[in-house]
This record gives sequence, C-alpha cells and structure tokens, in this order.
Amino acid sequence: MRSDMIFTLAAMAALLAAGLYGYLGDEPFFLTLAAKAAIFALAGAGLNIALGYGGLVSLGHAAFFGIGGYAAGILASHARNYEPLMSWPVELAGTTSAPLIWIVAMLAAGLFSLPMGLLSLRTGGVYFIMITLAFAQMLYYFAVSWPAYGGEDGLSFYVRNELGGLSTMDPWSWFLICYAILAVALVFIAVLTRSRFGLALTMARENPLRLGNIGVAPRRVLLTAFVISAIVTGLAGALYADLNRFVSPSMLSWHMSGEIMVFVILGGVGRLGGPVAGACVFILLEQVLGGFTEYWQFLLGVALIVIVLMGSGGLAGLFERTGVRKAAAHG
Amino acid sequence: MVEPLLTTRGLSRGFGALKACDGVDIDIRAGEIHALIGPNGAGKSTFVKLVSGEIAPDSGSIHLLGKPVGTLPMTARAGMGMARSFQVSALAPSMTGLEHVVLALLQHRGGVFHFFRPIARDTGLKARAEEILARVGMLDRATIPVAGLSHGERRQLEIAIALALEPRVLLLDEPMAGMGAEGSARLAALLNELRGDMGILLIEHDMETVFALADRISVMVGGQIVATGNAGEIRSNATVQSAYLGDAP
Repeated sequence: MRSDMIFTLAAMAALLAAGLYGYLGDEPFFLTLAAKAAIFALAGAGLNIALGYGGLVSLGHAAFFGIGGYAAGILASHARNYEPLMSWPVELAGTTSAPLIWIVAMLAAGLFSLPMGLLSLRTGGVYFIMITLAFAQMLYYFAVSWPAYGGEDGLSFYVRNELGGLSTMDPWSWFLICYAILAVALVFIAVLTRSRFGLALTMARENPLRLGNIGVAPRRVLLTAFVISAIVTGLAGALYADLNRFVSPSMLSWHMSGEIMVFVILGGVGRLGGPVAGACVFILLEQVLGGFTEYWQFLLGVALIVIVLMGSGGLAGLFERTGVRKAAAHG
Repeated sequence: MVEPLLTTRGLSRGFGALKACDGVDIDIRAGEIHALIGPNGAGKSTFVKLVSGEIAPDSGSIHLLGKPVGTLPMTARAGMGMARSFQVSALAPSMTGLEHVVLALLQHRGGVFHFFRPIARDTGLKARAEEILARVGMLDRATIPVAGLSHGERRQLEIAIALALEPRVLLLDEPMAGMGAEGSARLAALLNELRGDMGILLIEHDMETVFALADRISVMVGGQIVATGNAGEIRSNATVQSAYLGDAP
C-alpha cells in the first residue's frame, strides 16, 4: 500500500514536470501531449477499477470513452449551431459549459454501463470479455452509420468548451484542468479502495462464494464497480473530445478498448498509479519510437511482452520489487 | 416444546444416479450442538450445501427460524442468521484475517455499500473484530494476509468469520480437519462455550470429539439418516455399529 502511494506520487510528479517543461520551454505541442497523457491516465484509472480492483476483464471500455466524447461533441455542436437538442416534449438546448458536459458525459456512460454490466456479469472469464466487446462494437457501428453527427467522418467543433473564466484553448490551462481532474479521480479511487465497498470488492474478486456466504451478493458489488469504472472512463472521453475538438467513431472502436487496457497493464493492474505511469510511458514510446520508425507499435508490443513476462504489476510491480530489495539491503 | 431453529423435511438431492441426500429430516434446536456423522461420501457435505443455499434441493423443505428458505439465495439465508464454515477454507489470499472478520461484521452494521469513509477509522468495528479473533486464538496473526497463514490458522479464521456473522444457526463442516491437537482442543472448548448462544450443526470425523461435545448425534449413511440420539443411544445403536462404527456383525 505504501509503495503504491509512493509510485503514484512519483508518476504524478513526472507528469506535472512534463507539463511544466512544456510551459516554461514554450512548447505547446509538448503540453498537448502531457494533457493527452493525463486524459489517457484517467481513462485507464477508470478501467482499473473494474479490471484491477474488481478482476473484470472488460474489452468494452471504449464504449464509455466514446460515449463521453460524443456527449461533449453533441452538446457543444448543438450549442454552437443554435439548434436545440430536442424540442419535444421539452425544449432542451445544447451547452458549451464544460462542467455540465462532464456531468452529462458521466451520466450517459454510467447509464449505458448498467445494462451492459447486468448482462455481461451473468457470465465470466472469456465470455465476459466477448460480451463487453460486443456492446462496444455495437455502439461503434451505430456511430459509423448514424449520419446526424458526422457518421464515419466524425464530428468537429472549433473551440474547447468553457470552464468559468479559464481560457481552455490555452494549452497550459487545459493541461492543468486535465491534471487536476486526474488527481481528484485518483484521490477518489484511493478513498474507494479503503472504504467498506473497497473491502467487499477485493473479496468479490478473490472469493465471490465467501462474499455471498457472509450475506453480500457479489454481483451487486461487481456491477457497482463496473458502473463507477464506466463513469470515470466516460469523463476521460469528454476531456479527450475537448482536447482534439473532434470526436469520431474510432473513440468507440475495440482498438481503443485495447489501448486503454494497455495503459493499465503496462503501468500495473490494481495499482493506483499504474494507469498514470502506463499512459505516460505509452505516449513517450509513441513519440520517441514513432520518431525512428512508423512501426513503433511493433516495438511497443515487444516492450509490453517484456514487462508482462517480468512479472505481474507492470511498472508499479517492478518499482515494488526494487523497493523491497533496497529495503532488504538496508535492513 | 420450543420450535427448532432449523428444520429439514424430506430433503433430497441427486447427482445423476447417485442420491447424495435422500429424504433427510433433521432438527437443530436452540442451544444444542447437533453432530452429523457418517462415512465418507454419506452426503454430509451435500446436506450442508443444501441447507446453506449453495446448491438447490430436488425436493424437500428447509425452515430457518420457522420460515421456509428452500428457494432463497445464500445471501438471504445469511441475512436471516445462518453462518457456515467451509470444509476447504474459502478466503481471499490478499486480505488479512482482520479484514475478513470486519467484512463479515458489516452484515449487521449497515452493509458494504459505503464508498467514502475509510474502514480503518471505524475503531468500534476493529475492536469487535479483534475480540472475535482473540476468541479463536488468532489475534496475534490478525494483520497477516491469508496467503501467509498456515492451514490450521485458516481453519481458525473460518470460525472467526462465522462468529462475526452473529448467527442463530452455525454450520460447521469438519472445522477441525488439519488443525492439529492444540487447535482442535481450543476449538472444542470454544464450541462448548458457544453452545448456549446458537444452534450448531457439527460435521466431524473424530468420534472422541463428537461424543464429548454433541448434545445429539445424527448418523448419515448413503444419503439417509439412520439414527438420531444422544451419545449413549448412538453408541449402543446396532444399526449404527454395523453401518458405521466398524463393529462387523
């Protein structure tokens, strides 16, 4: 637990340092990358609640990421075009207010995750993976074939949404907003894992039969975790849409689900700071290796294999083991 | 006469051609230790699974505190005051003994759907859990993850979890298996202490323990109860002797 906390703080400090470097060195591209890392980390932190703490291998989290993205995109585009979202039975206008958009994104992702979780939790193992994947793909094809919001071409909006008096188009402010939201989410997850619910979730993952035996239905606990997980990833989707001022069906594709899972596994499954480290390293590799070769994802694959083979826990696990070895050497 | 805490009538369950439980009638009265003995494969563990709700019966009824529970899920029966220890320890490897007991205590203390308050701050909960762990002799090992506990210690923890549920009916499936002499003696003393507080169904192979502890004994052979009575009656029962206690006719 303590090593997890140190690792989390270290990963967050590194991300902040990257942002500061971009700000002081006046490199807006670098700042945008740092903001992207923070958003990906948030998406991974969401998945980590289901995957790491609940043991639910979801290959459908792109659904929540994309729902969050489309919630932001649709609300903003209506507001900018002065078209109401709907005029019957009540008139509902779009909005460019970021907090409102975030809330809608989280609600939408949470609502969608409810039937998805209910159905997929009836199964386990590889079937759970397939059903979550199927749900996400269903949405993906829906988005591709639905012409109202750009279909396959996606939907762009020209200005980021508004948050109080902050200038969200300024890369430094935008990075800080994303970073602050990530920090709040991590604190929330840390609190969650130390609560009564967190304890029950650990038991649901490790021994559901026993949890039922002490009077708690494991499926209710897992479903709750799945919904919370979707809400966090949905929020990340809304931020991602704002970052790019663009949403497209690719946010919903299973490729995206896989990428979010890579952040978690690379950084450390079930480790608070795992997704932060995973997303940062992913983007770093993408930039550095991508500079050498177009085939950087091949090298990413190699890196992933090495890290997984070196033992569970990804980068966070590596950190724990070196920490233990050092403590042993000193003691 | 006071109504028994737990009653089964005609409880049956087959697996293919095998009748693991075949019309079992058992009563567990308040304050008694009721031992269930019988050779391996007699259907004792199946009976516990049926009563606790892990598997569904083919026919027959189960009443807990006078209410039919035969179709209720395991969680509901646990909520009504039934606790069970597993024959093979069923624990979460990364959690400590203290965490297991705390989680079990939550059943009667507002449940687990609380997301913000750190559980470590709940000192009342922790004190109660430590009290229970002390009772089974596990207090000094309370903060070690289960993965680091010995087999016997896990058995003790099983009992502690069952006690934390504050049950009216306690089902113990071979609680002493693999516990060692000292552990068994401590558990026997503990069961003796608990006798007045709840009804206990005890499945146990060690006859000495059974005859010393049990108020009543039921003997199960081939899925059926062949005799029920106190220690003296069971010892002298001819059917039991031929079927189980090994005195060949």
